[in-house]
Amino acid sequence: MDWEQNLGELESQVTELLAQAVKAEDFLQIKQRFLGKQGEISNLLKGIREIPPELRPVFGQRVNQTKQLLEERIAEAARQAESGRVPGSGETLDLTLPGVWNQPGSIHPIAQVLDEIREILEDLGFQIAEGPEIETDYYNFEALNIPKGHPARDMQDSFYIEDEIVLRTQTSPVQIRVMEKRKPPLRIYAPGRVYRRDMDVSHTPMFHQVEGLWVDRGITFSDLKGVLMLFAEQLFGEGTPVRFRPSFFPFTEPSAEVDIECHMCRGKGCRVCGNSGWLEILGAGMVHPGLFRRVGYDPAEFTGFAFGLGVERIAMLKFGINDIRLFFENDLRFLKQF
Amino acid sequence: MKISLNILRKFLPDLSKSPGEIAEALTMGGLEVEAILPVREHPPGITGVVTAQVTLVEKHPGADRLSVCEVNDGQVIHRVVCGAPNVKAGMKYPFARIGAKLPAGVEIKKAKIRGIESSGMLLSKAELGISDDHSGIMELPDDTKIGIDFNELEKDIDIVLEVNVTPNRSDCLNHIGIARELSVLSGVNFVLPQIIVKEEGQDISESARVDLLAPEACPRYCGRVISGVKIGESPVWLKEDLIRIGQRSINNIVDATNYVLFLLGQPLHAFDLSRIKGREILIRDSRAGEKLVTIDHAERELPPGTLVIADRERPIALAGVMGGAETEVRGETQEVFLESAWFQPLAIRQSSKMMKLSSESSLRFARGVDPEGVALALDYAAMLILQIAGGKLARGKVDSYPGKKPCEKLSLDLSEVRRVLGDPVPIEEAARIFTSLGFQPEPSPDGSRIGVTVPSFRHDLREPVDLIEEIARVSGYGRIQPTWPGLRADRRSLSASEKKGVSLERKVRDLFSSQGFAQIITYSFISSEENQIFSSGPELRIANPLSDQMEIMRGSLLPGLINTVVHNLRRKFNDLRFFELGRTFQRGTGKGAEIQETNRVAGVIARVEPPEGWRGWLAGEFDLYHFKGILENVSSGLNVENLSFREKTSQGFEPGLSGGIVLDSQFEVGRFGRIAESVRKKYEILPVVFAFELDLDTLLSRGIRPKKFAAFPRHPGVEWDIAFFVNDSVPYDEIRNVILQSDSNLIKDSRLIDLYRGKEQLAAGKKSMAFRIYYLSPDHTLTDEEVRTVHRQVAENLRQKFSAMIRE
Ligand SMILES: [Zn+2]
Repeated sequence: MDWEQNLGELESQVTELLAQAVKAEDFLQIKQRFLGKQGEISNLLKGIREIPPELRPVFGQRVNQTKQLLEERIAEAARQAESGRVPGSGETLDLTLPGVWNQPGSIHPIAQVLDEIREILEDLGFQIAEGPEIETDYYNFEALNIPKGHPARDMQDSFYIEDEIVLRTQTSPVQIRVMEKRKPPLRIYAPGRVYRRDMDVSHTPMFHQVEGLWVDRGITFSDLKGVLMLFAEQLFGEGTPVRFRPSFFPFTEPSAEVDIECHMCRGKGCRVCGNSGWLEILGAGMVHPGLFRRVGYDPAEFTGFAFGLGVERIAMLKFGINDIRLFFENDLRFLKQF
Repeated sequence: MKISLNILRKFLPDLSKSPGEIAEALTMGGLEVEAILPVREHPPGITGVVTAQVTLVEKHPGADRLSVCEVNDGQVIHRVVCGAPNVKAGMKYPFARIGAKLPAGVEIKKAKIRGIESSGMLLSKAELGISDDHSGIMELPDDTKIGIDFNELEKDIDIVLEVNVTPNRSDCLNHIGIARELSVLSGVNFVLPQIIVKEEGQDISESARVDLLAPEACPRYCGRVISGVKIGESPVWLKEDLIRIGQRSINNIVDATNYVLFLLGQPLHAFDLSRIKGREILIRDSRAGEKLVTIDHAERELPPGTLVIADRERPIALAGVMGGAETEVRGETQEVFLESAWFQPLAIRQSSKMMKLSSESSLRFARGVDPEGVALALDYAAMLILQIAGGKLARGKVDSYPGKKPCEKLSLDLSEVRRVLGDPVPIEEAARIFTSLGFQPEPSPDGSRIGVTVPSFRHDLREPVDLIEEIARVSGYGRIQPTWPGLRADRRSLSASEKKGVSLERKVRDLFSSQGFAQIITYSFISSEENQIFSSGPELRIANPLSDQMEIMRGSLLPGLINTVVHNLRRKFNDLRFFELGRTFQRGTGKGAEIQETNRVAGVIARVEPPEGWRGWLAGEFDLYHFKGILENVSSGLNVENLSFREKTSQGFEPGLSGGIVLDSQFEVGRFGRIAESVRKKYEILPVVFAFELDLDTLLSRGIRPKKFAAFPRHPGVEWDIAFFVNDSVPYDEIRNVILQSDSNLIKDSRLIDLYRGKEQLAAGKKSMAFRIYYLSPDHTLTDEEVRTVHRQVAENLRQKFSAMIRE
């Protein structure tokens, strides 16, 4: 019969269209064309008057069955099409595509290491202090037991602006400036740029130091060891072996160099540590009584310890950087790694 | 400082520790060993020498001191006459067969010694050129195989330590000093080598006269005369020793003085006595106009007052620094005046600095040598010269010592040791350490103090705390127990502004990096040319810059940023955003003005083209307003209000496309805008560059306001828009202020929502603007009527102030 054929044709038409449909709109269109108020099914039903009355119930039943079937098919096909796709767009969702965002900025590795050092020292109760980068000869040398002609001046070839005015070669002058202004007890640290007239594979004419100073009654070398061991462990990881060996700084006595065990070879000796198994990380010592006398502290009453470290060196050890000059070249291939 | 273990053994004959143990002991005693370098090569020129075993030793029938031995070289048994006291049956030694060649060019031949034929020779280290040890033949380990070519023996001939000597320990810039230290630190016995010199002939006073005219600068002057020397090459052992410690061999006399320098730390100088006019040696200050040709053949003008050695007519050496060419020892020299002196460190430092000349000698004099070791070193050198260059040593020596001083005495309160170190040290322990250091300790009867006499070579020890360091150092820092002091220091903040400065910097850094800026750090010194691009005023010049690219303390952070842009553009990056935090420097104006250091932040953006993203999301134009938006973002993140941007052309920026940043309408805190075309051309930068620079110190002291909460009504407000034409020259800022001030009670805010300049409007010098106005009453919901009244007032004000034409 005609209408039976029509129904069958509708079904196959829908199947064909569904196979091509992608987007949500496609499914909506199909639904409207066949099942909408002016759709094919409705049109078919309008022809009921041409059907002999005795067949009408059968006809009604069949059309409704078909309608139901098509509804289900369209819904099912739409559901299948949606899965794995951005709803409504027909695009396949690819969550591995990069997110839409600006290029990220970066923070200089020296600033990052300085932050880390700062946090450790502030937890240990040290407070920040600052001083000028262009210093007088007095603060940079004289007050630190380095009179004119002292051999320690040879170690730190300095830049001069004019007689008596020098780019600071160390952050130690901040010690003197703070002690002149304040009475003990005090516990300070001073970060900043320092300058030495040196430029080769392992030296840049500018680098960063952090200076620490703790003065009070009863501060001893034992305290120096305890505090700096704690500092080294926090900076390089708990359980890092630390050793103290005698050294010389004009402004401390006794003076010490602090080493940590080489993390590359675990103390066995390798190229990084020059086969010694140890890596030097900071210099320290008990404040020389001459400094106390100079700032008006009584050395018989107060003792203290001071320490200083090079930030570039720490950063090189922590990040495995082998050329100090990279820090000031500011190449994005370098900066973006941090 | 290179230290040879073979040479050290002259002072430490019992030294049996491994190189590693020696290095560890020195390092932990304050003499850091930076490298252990084995010396493997054999002295050149040895052939025909094999390892051999002595199987029989009998007395020589014709001579008490000689023995006749049977030597097995692995092929045959040789009969050999030997004079060494240490030859024993069963031992193994290096053996030279007939025809063997030794380093000095000696060839071994058959010889009859006191009637007995000797077919070969057992060798000492000296004969092999390994050292100057003549005391006996070289003993080889028991497990040495016999019959092996000596050159193939796999053993270290010597070990050289690279020791880092701190500037206070000039006594350790030589072998005897290191040996003393090693003896103290590891308990090995220390012995002074024997010095025996044979004087003969006439007295020294007959061949030379010394006149010490500068006793202040030269407290001690010693000399000896050796005549009949034969100048030539040094023996192999001496050459080898010098090479191992990093020196060059010149001739036997110069090498001998050099050797003593590195052995005992005393610089010496040998003059050709026949060239000293009048055979008179004067130690005096130079006079105006005097010149000297030094041994490096440079003619040098001597500033008046420089300490020199002179003869009757002219200076012949720059005292303590370098000898003169005319009196230097040369091939035909026969008579030598050997000088050993103690010069004041300051005097030598001065002449070294003034003459821009330094040497191994001046380095040591400048740091201080041992005044009591002067004569000893002289005799040692004389002994060595007689040994290797022959000649006769005149009787007596010059020893002019007007500056002799008693050794310093110090007294240490033992309770101080505990106060500084934290650990108590028993008096016996302190006395033991001081004895080992040669300090001659004298404990007080009550055991509370200990007195010491500081040896003449330890001029670094000046006060009791120095003795505390000696105790800590010798007993080992590792022995001191770590302690953790309680939080005894006070918690008062040292400086609130410094602390705030740090947190401001950190915030600035985070805000810029979150907007895609990479932080950089550049040098604080730049070229004058670059400095003048962005800064004016007097420059702060470095007197001794590394180069003219690094001679001015920067007045602005911008040159460093621009250079970083250039560097990275070359590396094909196309969206560049950088910032730097740091100080700029300025010389204040006026007399005695201080140098000013200002903390600043500066940044740049340079884009080659709209960078591509896979969605094109980065495309689009980027102009001055976008750049300003970034700065506004940062300032609001910093909680800085009242920043305004004014049109102003500042140095290095493009006129009409740059401005100044002003705080509270009065304080200039920065500048921003497009970098001038001329600057871009100079640097060959193609893309447009935007830049800013801000003074953080002023922002910190004046700009940052504490946040205050303002209560807000719970009922809603309403938004009405107003649109109008107005003259193009009227700035947005002023219009917005007029709107806001029309009713400060009900108008909460206003925002520009449209700005349009069509052809028609532009022709008339006009622009079309639309503002959205937020009306809100503090206490009730506004009626339309209330809002309409205020809105009309706004329109009226705009008409009056700016002749605006309101669009309905
Ligand atoms: Zn290592």
